[in-house]
Amino acid sequence: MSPAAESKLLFAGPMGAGKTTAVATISDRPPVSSEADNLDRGQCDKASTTVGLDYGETRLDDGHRLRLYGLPGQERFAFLWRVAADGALGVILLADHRRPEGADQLTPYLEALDGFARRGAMVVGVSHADRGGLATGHYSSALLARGLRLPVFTVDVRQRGDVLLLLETLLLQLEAVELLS
Amino acid sequence: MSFFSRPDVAAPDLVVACMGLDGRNETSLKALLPLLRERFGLHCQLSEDPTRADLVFYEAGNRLAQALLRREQAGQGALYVACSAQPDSAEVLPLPFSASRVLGRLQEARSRRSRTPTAGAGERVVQLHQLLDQPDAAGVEIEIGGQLGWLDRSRRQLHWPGEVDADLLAGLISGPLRLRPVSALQLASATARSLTAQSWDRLLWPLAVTSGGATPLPGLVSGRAFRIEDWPDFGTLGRRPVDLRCVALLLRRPLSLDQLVALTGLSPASVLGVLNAAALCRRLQGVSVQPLARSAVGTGPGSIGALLGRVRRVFSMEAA
Repeated sequence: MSPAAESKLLFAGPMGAGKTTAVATISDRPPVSSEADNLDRGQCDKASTTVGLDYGETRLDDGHRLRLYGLPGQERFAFLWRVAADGALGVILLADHRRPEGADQLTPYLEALDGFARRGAMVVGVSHADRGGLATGHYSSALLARGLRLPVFTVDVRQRGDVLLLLETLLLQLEAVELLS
Repeated sequence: MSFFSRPDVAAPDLVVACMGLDGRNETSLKALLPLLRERFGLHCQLSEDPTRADLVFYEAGNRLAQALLRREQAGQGALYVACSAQPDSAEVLPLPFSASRVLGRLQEARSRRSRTPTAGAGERVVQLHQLLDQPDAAGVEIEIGGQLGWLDRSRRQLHWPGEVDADLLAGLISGPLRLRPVSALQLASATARSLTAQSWDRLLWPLAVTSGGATPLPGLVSGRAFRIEDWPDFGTLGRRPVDLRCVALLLRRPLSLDQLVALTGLSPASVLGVLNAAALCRRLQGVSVQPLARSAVGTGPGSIGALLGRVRRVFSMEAA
């Protein structure tokens, strides 16, 4: 990584998984959101959804800026995912465990952001699951079937500690790649 | 030099550890200890391993610390001090730390200092590990305080009357306990009852890391490297930087205990605690050791490590 004064971090996943909340949880200031009425209530029963990008940022102690981008969840915005991914440090991919399609909900994001997943620049957070630790097994198995050994953690994205756990693990994975490559 | 032949260093008056405190308070404690040494001659060493400490300052809600505290109350001697920014009783130490209150706790810990090793917990980890390895057993029955539960080896699940809590952990660490292997038929019959099925990591991982890495489990021999095939769910286990750091590396390539120590700068006991936990949870595979590239060791944090350090500082996160 260059000594640039900023890094970009992406939050991806389907509607309702908690991307907007996760960005807001660790952003220094209220994120800029592009919410619009949700016209696709069959996909997710919430009144509004992100149609552009959510944007937040965190200033580190040396002025380094960590830019936080929440990607729109709907697949018709896949072109935007790829544009936003350019130069990003990594991806926090969120899943909504209430969705009936289970681990398949991650497929479009894993395909569009495959390069991040392959080089370990991705972590998966499963929201809306109980804390028994069984929910994540389905997602881990689906990832392993794709040859991916990514961390899959049960999280509540309203909790700053949970979002930071994902961020820290992402950075530790990148550090491991850097150390052992 | 191998961990297995590592000599002891000069012992301090007290070993102090923190559990679950944010980085700001941990840093403030680190700054206080040398000052107290200069002023009062009390030589304290900070350790990341609470099971080897004489005094543990812990965040009042930390579940692992509560389990360890219950074991200490069973008579092993270390002093556990709950800390909170909003203490709800006189026994809870207010945060941020003040020198006089910390000094009071240090003196109390010194007066009751006891270096009882955690052999009891370590022996239980070994016993459980061996029972789970028995070829004719499908699982292990656990009886603690009149409650029965089962570990299912093939699914890596615990079936218990409720969710894993500090009482259960404490009972497994130090309370009266009965363990016995069960057949597939016995296991199927037992788990058909109305029990809570959960990942066994929730019980076994904390049990192994709280045993202090004093004893390598069978198979964790010097001269072998180990790898982990998939991540435990640290969203349910709770964040321990030592676990995260070691698992991230062991996912990337097989490493021996000594290589992990060299790469991370962590103590051998801490690293062994993680290896024990992964082995007990059946997440560890042993392979032959391959040498590390020279560039990987002793070069300090790279660009990502430096960024991680800044992120931890700005969010007051405890480091490994």
